[in-house]
Amino acid sequence: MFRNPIFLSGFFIIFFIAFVCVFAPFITSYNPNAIDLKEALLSPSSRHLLGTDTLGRDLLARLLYGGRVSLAVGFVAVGISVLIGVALGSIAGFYGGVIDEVISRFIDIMLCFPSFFLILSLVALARHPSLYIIMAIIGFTSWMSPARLIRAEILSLRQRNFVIAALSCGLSQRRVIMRHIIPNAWGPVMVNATLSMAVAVLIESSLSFLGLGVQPPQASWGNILLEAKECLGVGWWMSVFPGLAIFFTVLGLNLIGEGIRESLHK
Amino acid sequence: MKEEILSAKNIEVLTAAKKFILKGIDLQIFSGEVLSLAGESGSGKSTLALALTGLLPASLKLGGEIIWQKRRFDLAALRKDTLSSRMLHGQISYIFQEPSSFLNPTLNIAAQLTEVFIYNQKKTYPQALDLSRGLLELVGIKEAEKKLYSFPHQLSGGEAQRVMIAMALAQRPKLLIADEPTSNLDVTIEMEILSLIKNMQQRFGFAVLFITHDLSLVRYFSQRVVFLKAGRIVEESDTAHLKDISNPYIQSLLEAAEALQDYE
Amino acid sequence: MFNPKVSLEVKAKLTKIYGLDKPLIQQYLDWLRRIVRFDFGVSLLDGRRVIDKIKERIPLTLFINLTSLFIIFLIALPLGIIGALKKGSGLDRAITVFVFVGFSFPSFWLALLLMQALAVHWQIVPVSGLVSVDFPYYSWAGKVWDLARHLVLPIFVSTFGALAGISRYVREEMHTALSSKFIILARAKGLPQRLILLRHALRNALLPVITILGLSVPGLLGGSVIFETIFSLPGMGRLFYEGVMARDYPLIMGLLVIGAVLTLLGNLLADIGYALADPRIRYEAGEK
Repeated sequence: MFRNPIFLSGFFIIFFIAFVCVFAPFITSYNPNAIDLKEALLSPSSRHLLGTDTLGRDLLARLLYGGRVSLAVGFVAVGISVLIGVALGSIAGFYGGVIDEVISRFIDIMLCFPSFFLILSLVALARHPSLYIIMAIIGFTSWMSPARLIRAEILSLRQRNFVIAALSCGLSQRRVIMRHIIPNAWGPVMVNATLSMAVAVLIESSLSFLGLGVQPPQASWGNILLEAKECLGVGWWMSVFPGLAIFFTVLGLNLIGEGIRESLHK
Repeated sequence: MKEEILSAKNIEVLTAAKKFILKGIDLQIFSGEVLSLAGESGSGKSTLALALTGLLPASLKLGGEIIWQKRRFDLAALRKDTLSSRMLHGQISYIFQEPSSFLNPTLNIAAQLTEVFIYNQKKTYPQALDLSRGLLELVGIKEAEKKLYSFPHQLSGGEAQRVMIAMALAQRPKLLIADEPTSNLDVTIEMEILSLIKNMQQRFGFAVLFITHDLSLVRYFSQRVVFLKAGRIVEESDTAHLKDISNPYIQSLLEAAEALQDYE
Repeated sequence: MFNPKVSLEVKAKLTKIYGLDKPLIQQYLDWLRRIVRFDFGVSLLDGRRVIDKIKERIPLTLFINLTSLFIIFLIALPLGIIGALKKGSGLDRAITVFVFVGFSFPSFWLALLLMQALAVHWQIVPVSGLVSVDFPYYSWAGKVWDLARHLVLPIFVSTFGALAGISRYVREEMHTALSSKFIILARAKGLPQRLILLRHALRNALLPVITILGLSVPGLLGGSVIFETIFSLPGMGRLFYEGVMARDYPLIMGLLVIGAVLTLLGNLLADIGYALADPRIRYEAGEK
């Protein structure tokens, strides 16, 4: 896996982006929320590497600190969805019968709705969505595909000999799940998780772009683009740079996912 | 004095990882004869069948040449030369082991049969349809009109194999390469299909390269036999003189075949 | 849900109107009964019936999305076929790169960039809206042209995102089909290459693609929210956005249900399409 060029290129991209966002205070001395109207809407220069926004805030700083938010949301949301998905999917796949039926129907019902519609509805319900609520909302609406994946893997692995052997040795069911089944089913779930994280980042930035996600003055790549929409035609840097950030993050994650998938197939 | 129609020289097939599947294969096929190619599973028989006309997937490396009807064809180049390839395939037909996998599931029998007439022999569709109907009857398919418009999954194993034979005959081949045509069929149907092939061969006079792992069939069907083991030719003989072969491997194969026959 | 400053009297009245004083089970059953008849109540925003508001917005959204699907189909097929044929070549690699870029491009960023370049900077297409101010005065042809100008960008944005995924899918399916055994026999029959590709391989490759197209409905609906809002188009997606902004719950519920109905319809059509196209399903084995 670590020799696959696709995986490596994705990995380096994400590593770079995560690195600069985490070490933001060491890279820029500007406060991302420091308003300075004298400096409003300056194009990129040696003083402000990426220019400033309508309120004179340094764009690079806002991108870096906003990146922390966007990446965190993506990561936590996927974490939640994988936890729920793997749990429910494993239970359904392993115990079968009525439990499987109930969980599978539940998955089907959730899948009836366009996911973005669902997310928006939950956001509307939440009135003033905080960062954590948004993470939860995205997490609670994307657990279906890891659940299905792991259920399918478990259903097929159940028939395999080493599982039957383990069970007949008297190992408890929980132990069999944890030590035999999950390590084998892990691969596709990992691929799915990285691709989901890409989607989660896109969703968060879409929500923020619509004004329904991260609220200003807290920066997020999406809401910087929202401000850019207001000054369309002036300030091209405000449209270009946050978009590039989102683009490369999503691209990097897709490459990682694809790299893992390729190395699994060998 | 029979004339040679196909002469294969030094055929080699390697996997991408440079492992040999076939090495140093020389083969001659004479006009109108039935030559058996015998060997156990994994000896490379099917690969050789496809290699002879360059039908192997691009992931395998192919080397060697064949002389067909006095023309030389370099096999590696043949895979890329669609013109020569098409010409060759117009005269050499194939039938394969699992007929249902080799028929296109989304096209009906009429489509798959008539396209040979239309694209290789420039017939019109109505002509091709008539010829196809006749062919189906010739190979012993009952209710030919109805079966013409059915799809491969609706046919039984024996019927599907008859359809493949019909498609092979449609090309008016000079050589038929039959890769284990009956291995997947019930024993009763097996003999029907084999005698069908034999009848067709005697009637139309084409040569047959009969690939099998079943030595009892070799004696029934062919005049000469070539033995393949682990990708190399190990022995060549007339079927009449099989017992005289000193090669211990062949002897054990013969014994196994006979033991089975007694058992049956 | 209530503005805390509202007087107790008004509160009591509203509670009675919305039936909030009835037991929970009763409320749920009443709601179910109404939903089945597509009666979603009235919008909190302007008091009009929710179903009416949705009905007038559906055509535009459907039009844009179906046009996108159609264009995607037209472009993804040749891209996928070329990709499968020339696997590993320079052209195939270029297509793969293009596909990855397409996957990763945020649609709203694309919309923003295009708006900036084509609408504001070079002024080729209008910035937003469905029609120009003078629309009622245009001739019939003029009206069509005006609509087209306004819809070019939204359709382009809608198509771009899904195109990548579907091209890739076509390419994989074509590659699988071309590696099948029946292709070997087709070659052994001496058939021309183009016939093998288009008649034998493509027919088999298209089967799963039909399913994919039907399943992309929910994704397209979600995308509609974004580009309809950016381009100020009066479609279903933008209605959803307005509903969420105003916390208009009946409207949101109604749109959610309609969204689910459309998704299920897409699935159904995909299933029917597949069953019709695959002879193995259309004709039961052994029967005529």
